[in-house]
Amino acid sequence: MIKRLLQSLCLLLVVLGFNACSSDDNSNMTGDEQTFVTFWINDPQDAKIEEIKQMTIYLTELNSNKKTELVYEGDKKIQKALPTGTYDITVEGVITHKVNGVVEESKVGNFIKGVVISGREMTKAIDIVFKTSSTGFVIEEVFFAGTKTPQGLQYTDDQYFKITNNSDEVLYLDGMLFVQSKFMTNDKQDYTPNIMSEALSAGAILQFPGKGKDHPVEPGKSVIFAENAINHREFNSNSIDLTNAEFQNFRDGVHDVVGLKAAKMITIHDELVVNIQGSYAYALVKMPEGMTTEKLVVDNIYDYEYEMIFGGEAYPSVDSAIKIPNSWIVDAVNLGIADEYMWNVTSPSVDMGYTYITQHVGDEGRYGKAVRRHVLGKNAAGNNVLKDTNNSTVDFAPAVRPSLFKY
Amino acid sequence: MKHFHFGLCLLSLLSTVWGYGQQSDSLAIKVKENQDVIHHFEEPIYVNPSHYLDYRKYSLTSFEIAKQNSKNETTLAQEGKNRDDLSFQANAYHKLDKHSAVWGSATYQQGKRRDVMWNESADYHLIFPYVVADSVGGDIKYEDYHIAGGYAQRLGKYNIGISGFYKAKMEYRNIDPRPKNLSARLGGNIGVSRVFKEFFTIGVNTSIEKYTQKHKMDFYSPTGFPVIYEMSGMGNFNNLLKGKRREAYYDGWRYGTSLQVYDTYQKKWFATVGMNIFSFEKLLPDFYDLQVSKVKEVEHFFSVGKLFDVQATQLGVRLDGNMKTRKGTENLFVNVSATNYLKIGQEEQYKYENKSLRLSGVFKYGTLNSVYSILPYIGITQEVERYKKPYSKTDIQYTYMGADLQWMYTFKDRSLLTVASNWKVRQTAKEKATFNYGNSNAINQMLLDNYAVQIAEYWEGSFKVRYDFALPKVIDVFVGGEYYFQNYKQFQNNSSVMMSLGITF
Repeated sequence: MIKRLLQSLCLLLVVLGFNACSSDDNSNMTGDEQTFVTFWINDPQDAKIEEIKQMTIYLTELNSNKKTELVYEGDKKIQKALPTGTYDITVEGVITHKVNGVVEESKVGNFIKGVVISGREMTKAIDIVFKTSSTGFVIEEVFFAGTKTPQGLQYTDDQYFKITNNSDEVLYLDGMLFVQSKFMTNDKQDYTPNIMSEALSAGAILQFPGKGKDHPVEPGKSVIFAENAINHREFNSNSIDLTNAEFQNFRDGVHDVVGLKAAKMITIHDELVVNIQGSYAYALVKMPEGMTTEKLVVDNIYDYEYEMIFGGEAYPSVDSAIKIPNSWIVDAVNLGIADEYMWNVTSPSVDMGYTYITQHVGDEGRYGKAVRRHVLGKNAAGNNVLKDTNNSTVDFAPAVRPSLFKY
Repeated sequence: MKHFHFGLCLLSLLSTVWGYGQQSDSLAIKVKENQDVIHHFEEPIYVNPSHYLDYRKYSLTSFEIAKQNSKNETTLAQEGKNRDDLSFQANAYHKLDKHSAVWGSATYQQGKRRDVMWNESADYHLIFPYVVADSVGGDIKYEDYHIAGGYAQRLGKYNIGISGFYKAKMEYRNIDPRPKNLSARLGGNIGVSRVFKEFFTIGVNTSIEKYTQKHKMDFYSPTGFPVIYEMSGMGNFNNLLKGKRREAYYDGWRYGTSLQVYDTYQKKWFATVGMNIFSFEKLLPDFYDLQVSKVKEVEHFFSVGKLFDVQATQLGVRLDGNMKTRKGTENLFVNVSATNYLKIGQEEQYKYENKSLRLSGVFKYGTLNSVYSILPYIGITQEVERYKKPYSKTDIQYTYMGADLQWMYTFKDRSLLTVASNWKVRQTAKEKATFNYGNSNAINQMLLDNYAVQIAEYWEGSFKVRYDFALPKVIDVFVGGEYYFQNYKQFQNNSSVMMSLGITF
């Protein structure tokens, strides 16, 4: 009996052993397969493409950070076999289209976030929008991350924006608006109605003071709009002296500084609190003739609904912002946290990319760094020409040393 | 408190075997037999617990405290450099009667590994390449617990054996970044063997092991923390998951089986063949146990040996082969929101192969008071590591040769002196590397530094002395010391010193 039992046990061990060694990889997701993708180029809104003069699709696979560039060759489509993945798609191109019967050439582009490419074959329609051209004011630099004190503490009062006249004529900031978006680039919601193709949803709105020609900016010159226009080095030797800033944020009880040289910004709607991680978009806005700030905050109220998802549950929510038509926007930049960035909170016609300092929430490497616009070269007057393609991803250098940090 | 519990375990083990220790066999005979190089030569047989009836001729129990200081300058970044260890170890093997045997061991070890870089996880050798990493690193403190035991029984022409073990490890750091890793391995092994025609024995065994590791990262700095990477081999990482993930969980199983054939009574010849499979998955609890990657490692091994007796001399030759292939599959994701990731595909990206062949011999010569032995060996190993996209590959072949020397001398008072010295030379026969450098200069540098260490040629030697003696009417004691030295042509040398003190009964 025992002998038979042991013989059976022997056999069982052999069977178990070899069964354990058999392959358990029966997945049908081989992963090596590529997807043959056809990108169809759609007509822009209210226009028909006559000819695509040139077009390039820039793809970034987000898991591997692998970049691929596809160049248009004809037939309003671009085809390519791509590895399975999640892609950010940027489109840049030039098309011809008819305006009042006359053929015109225009720059177009778009940015599409997080497109999943998988399966054997797929088709992806690419919407394109006309890019607004700007040769005026640009936001050249944003320093929002703050600094670290010698004691290792966080210091954030030294934030600033550098606004530069990128044209070859004198421009005036008087009456222009400085806008912080209502929506955040790391919190994508299905806001209804969706007005992004027409307008920017503004949270904080500030106005530059002046009666028309009080604040001229020479070609190639810049002004500083500081959170606090004081000498921060008196409090933090790792910071900077911002007493020469031209403008300062002003909130009652927060910014009441004696002996301030900078002009106080006028708060029109909400208060501007600059996020130290960088998760909003900022825009310079020039209102059309006849529009006043009083009228703006009354006539352009944007009430929206969305479902706030929390803990897997959806909670119907409502809120409101101020609509800033895209056509008023002189320049805009989307800021994001690299590993949490979800979407652009502006229309791609004003900014189809984003830039960043922080790699993740709480990134210790962010202190003392800024985002700064690339310099293309010098113009005839010897002034820097700043890159402005309405794509912050390529227009800005992320996480660089701020220009005011001379020491 | 946990130390207290572990101490209780050790005491329990010792008290269990204490009675068995009251043998009349002389200390020198028992220890000398236990340290016999022939046992080391025949070690492959004992993968099967049913063979433990003849594991040693005498029952023996030992308790040892050891302190080791290692000064290691040339290591892989993930393994750390200098190391300090303190360990307590108890071992027991006892023949209950002619037909049954029992054995057990318990170990507690604590220490610190210094300058561990690009690896904040525990058990690097098990979970590579899917470690959690950051660019800061630092010293890692650790505590290891290990308890094992087994039982073998003869039933006519059959032997059956069963054994089990439990290993637990805690690793942590007290300054930012503060990883805390808890790993556990629980395994069992069951085997059966049968004697055929009073001449040879055939045995088969199957083993199973459960592996888990819980990794948690904390930062106390109010100003922020560095980037945390989910590494995926050869300097790559998942860009979408890069950032602030605080937890990781490794969950795996190991299965194995092997077959042994050997000369039943004298073990003059033996042959074993077997295989092991280890697979695990890496999960991110931050995202509802999102599976990031998985690994399947298949290992085949064999060993054949033959012993000859030429008068008072024993000679032997043994050939060992091992082939191990590890494949890593990584998942691809889309981030629906900042905290919600969906799997959209998977890809087998990583592959590691290790093939080795080792030819060794044994020479043992005994006189009335002395036993001399030499175990020379020569071997060749090929290690290939590859990452598919972006393509990276290293292919390293190296040869090595060396000898383990031992001299045991029995004094008139029956005390025993053991002197051992091991020597080895490693030479690189072939090396070729293709790296796809990423954007991180720090990671690129780590890859190059690691590769330089992997292909480095060296020689190493150790010198070990142990003295076993009896304290009259008290207990049998041993003291030992070992010095180890590893010499690199192009890098700084590694060395270690170990002192040990123990009792046997």
